Amino acid sequence: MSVGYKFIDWNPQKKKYDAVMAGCILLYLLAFILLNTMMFPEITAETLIIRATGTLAILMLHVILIIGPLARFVPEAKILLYNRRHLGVSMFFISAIHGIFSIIQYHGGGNENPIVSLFTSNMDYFSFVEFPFMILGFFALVILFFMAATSHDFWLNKLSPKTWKRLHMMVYVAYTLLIFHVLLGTLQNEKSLLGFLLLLLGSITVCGMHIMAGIKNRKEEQLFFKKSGEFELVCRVDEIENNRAKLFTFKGKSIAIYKYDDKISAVDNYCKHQGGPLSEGKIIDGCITCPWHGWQYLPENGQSPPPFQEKIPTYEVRVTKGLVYVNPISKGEGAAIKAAQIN
Amino acid sequence: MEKEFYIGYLPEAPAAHKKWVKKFLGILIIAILLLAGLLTFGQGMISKGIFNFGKTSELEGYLRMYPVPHLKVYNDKGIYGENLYKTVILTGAFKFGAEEIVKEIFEKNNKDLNDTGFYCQLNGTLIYNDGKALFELTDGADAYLKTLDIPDNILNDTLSNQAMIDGFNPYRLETTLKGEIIDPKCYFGAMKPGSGKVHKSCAIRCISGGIPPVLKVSSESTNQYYILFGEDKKSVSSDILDYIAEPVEITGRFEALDDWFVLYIDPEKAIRKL
Repeated sequence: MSVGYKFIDWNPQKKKYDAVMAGCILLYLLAFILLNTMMFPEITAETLIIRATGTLAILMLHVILIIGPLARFVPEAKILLYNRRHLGVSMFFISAIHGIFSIIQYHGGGNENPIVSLFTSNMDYFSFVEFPFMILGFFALVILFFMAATSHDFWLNKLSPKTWKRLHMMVYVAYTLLIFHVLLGTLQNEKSLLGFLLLLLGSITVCGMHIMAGIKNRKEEQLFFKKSGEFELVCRVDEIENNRAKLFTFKGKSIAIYKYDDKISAVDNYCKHQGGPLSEGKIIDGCITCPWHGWQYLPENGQSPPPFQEKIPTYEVRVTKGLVYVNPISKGEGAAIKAAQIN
Repeated sequence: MEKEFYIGYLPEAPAAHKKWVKKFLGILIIAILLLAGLLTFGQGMISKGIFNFGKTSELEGYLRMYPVPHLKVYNDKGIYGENLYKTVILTGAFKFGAEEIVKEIFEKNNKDLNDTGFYCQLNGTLIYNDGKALFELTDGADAYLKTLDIPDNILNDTLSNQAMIDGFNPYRLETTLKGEIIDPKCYFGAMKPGSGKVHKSCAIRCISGGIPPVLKVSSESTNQYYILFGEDKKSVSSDILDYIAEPVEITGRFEALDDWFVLYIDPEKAIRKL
């Protein structure tokens, strides 16, 4: 929540998260380097670095992409979402080591500028099998760079959440480029199918979990089903848990309807921070609290509590005979609307 | 019972979340070790080539320019008492050939490039594998140390004095070979992998930088190596760049150059992709 910015706003859980992440990265690198030097004593240091960082980066990207849909099925997995940006930035640095070493190794020290060589040495752009796979990795790295460089709330605010989110959705483009980078590159040099099967398993897991999460979202969405003037009948009061919300959609609009202190309020479903689903949040200290990073809004006006300044759209609500009605036309961001009394 | 709700900026995570994270971490650690193992074992064998990087040595022999810059080095006596030699291909540092360096050494010593060469000692970095050797002239023309007297056992051997720039040799046999064009510096030790798709760009860079192209012909049990050179006694490097690191078929006339073969080709007609 944007009152002031620090380079990294450390807290105990972020420190634990980063310590575990660093431990896992080190464990993989140590295991990979140890096994490779035992199995292939003739391997060179630069080849080992390229392979260790390349395999680690693609594994980390799979973990990063799986966390989102996993959190849709396992609420406890939201703990992995909280500091995912540090995971993403670390993954970028590991990818950058792989990329820089590869460019120096394969394109440096020759009769052409290494970056020019990257694009001009292998010109089989119209062949699938012989396609210059390294440029796929290069473009993926460029995308990851922009994502890592803007992976801070300062940029989120500067770019606007919508633009920032669009930029960070480019991770799926980077992922696709990297899958083909591996498929058309190193896997073509290997006789064993093991690498290919692992990549296939990873891709199926990432795609499958996203599809399943999408299906779950669709199933959970409830449509407004009966009109009453400007208001739409949405559900019974007792269908909403206390201090929690239910999600409703109307003509592409998602609205989180909260029950708390014998009152009902309705706000836009998307958090101003990173678009987290507020319908999965909770009322804590009188505020709607986002399940992703804990950003908060007052339910009756959609405003973050002072000194924070974020605002989300609010909606009028009525409760009649135990039934909840919502006017799906928003009163605007941060508009104060009296909550509907249940009794 | 009310469901737990996680907020990252609070000092502690709820109990159920902590329990889940511990389980998840256990699985993750097993997965990390398993994947490190699988990804290691999934790799093909790595070349046993040696590049004595950072460790220079001296080598003596006949320094010659054609068909590629090389040092003809006495190796051993054959079963009939004849001298056996190795052709050690010379390269420059990084991704460059040795042509300019060898020209400079010839000029410094007032030697004719078209001559049979001269016996000298060079300093450089050895690259070797599969019975073949290359020598990187790491310090450029400073790699030349001194001109030596030709040892008696070589002086009396007519083979060592034979000119290698003999133009058209009617005894060269025409052949058609299938294989992969490699750059020998990387393939025999400087890079791992030093061939195939992953290494393609590097091989193009090396060969365009003057490292002689070599056709590797593999059978089940052995590899044979053919240095590619023009029928017109000119380098074919710039003509074969589109064919590097791909399966190709090449037709030409070949002859032995000590432990190598030289395949003399007309690049415009001789090569096709498979």
